[in-house]
Amino acid sequence: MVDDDASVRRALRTQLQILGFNVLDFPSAEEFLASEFPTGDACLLLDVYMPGMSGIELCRRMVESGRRLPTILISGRDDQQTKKMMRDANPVASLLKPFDEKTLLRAIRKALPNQSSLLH
Amino acid sequence: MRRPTTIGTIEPKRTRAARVGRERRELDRFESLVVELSAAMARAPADAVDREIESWLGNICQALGLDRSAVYERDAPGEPVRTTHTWLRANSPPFPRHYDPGKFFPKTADWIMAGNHLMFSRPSDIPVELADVRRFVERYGPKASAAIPMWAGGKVIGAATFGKFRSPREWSPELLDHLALAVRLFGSAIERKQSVTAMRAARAELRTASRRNLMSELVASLSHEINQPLGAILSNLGGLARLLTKGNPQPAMALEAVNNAIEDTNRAAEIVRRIRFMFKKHVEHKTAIDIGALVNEVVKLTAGEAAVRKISVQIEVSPSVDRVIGDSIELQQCVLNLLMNAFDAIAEAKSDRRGVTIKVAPEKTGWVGVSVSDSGAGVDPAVANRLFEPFVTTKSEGMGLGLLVTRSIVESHGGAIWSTPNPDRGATFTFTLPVAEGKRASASRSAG
Repeated sequence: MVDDDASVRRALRTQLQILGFNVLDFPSAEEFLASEFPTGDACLLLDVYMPGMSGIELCRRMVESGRRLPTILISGRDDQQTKKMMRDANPVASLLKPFDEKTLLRAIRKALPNQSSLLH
Repeated sequence: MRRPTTIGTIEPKRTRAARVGRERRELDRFESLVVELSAAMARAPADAVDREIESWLGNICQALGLDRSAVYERDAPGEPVRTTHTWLRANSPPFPRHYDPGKFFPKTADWIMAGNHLMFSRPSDIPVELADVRRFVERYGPKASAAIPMWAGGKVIGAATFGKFRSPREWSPELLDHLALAVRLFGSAIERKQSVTAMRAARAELRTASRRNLMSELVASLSHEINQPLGAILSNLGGLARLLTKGNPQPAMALEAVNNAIEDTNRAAEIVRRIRFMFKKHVEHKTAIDIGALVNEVVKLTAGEAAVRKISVQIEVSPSVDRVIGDSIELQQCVLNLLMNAFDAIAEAKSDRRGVTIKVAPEKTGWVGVSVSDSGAGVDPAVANRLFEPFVTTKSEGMGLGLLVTRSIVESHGGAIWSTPNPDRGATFTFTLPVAEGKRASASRSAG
């Protein structure tokens, strides 16, 4: 998970752990890029607006470098420009904050189809 | 131009001499009236032009013993001719107050708008080819009238008429020259008024557009700010609900989720409080302001903060700076925002050179620029052109609204704001404000 907002990171981490996921979280796109990529069944929960490199830019860099992770974009903004940016980045799913557990799980299910037995 | 005529009457010599004397005196009086009119028109602000013209139509009629006078305007060839200003002597015979000359006598209206004068000392003087106006005159009864095209900027923009209903009267060529001059003065005043009105409308449109844009950015930004803690609350409570469904196998985690949610709720409330403070209803009050003194005041207010952060603040006020027009509370907020940004930039860069310079200097004609330079890390070129958008921030703390609020204030003052990288290090933020006309900031000049 990459989000610059500490309380959002903390809350999502708690929620995902309760749901039985292993969670790695990063406060910026730069730190995520500098880290070891997770192996195995994994997906990326990615905030759009962050100081420094944006989530959109991170998507682009990952496509360029051939390192792929199914990506769920999350944003606190839903204006036309943001919606278009998110669509163009072609993620598995786009979520608008605040979102409930059902919405989150639906997105993760799409990102990790092999793990769908885990989630209900 | 028709010479005054007395056909059909035999005038005794003595009567003629008396009439010539009367006409001479009337002409002299009228000539000085036109001089006064000229001064009044030049003085009249755009908003007062219409009122001035109507009152001068009255003055002209009084001076020449006339009964009705009107100004007509036409926006462009082919457009209708509109009655825009009238003066009518009390108890005059009924006359269609806002009649359409193009409908009553289209041929004559076109003829006058083509630049021709029409005057008659009695209805029988009206040329037979202008039958339409002849019928009109017979019906509504002016005994004598002069219609003069109104020139402005090299074209005819309308006409003025001067009529007498009670009796015929003569129009000497000298009198007509003076009337034509008065009409030309009306024309240039009307043209000036129109260009001021057009400019104002264009400016207002620009302002509304930029404000509308700003408002939608602001709304998007504020909802983003609130959605962050709301999202966190929802995640924490979602996790908690999930734990409780499973019989609460991890009570420590459940407690953490609850505590997180409480903290996030407080954060949401704090954001609401800050927004309310930032946009606290403040009645805008614009005056002529010594911007150099205002900058000094803000720097004094922040001296404690600067000392704690070990930052030195220099102020340079150009001696030739004029007073600006603005709201002092709003402008203080602008300077404060930029100054605090500069402090933060230096803190984040962990710079050993810890200085901020505020310069106040003329910027183009009629504008004053206020620039705040810091020795921080400078602005990331990737975000430089988006810096004034909401929540684009290079800081680890903060909502990214400071520059947006600053921009909104500067733009509501008619100014602009931008940032430039410094040649050595750091960035400079500059905003402009309009000079208050006719007022000089003598205090800042002597402080220089």
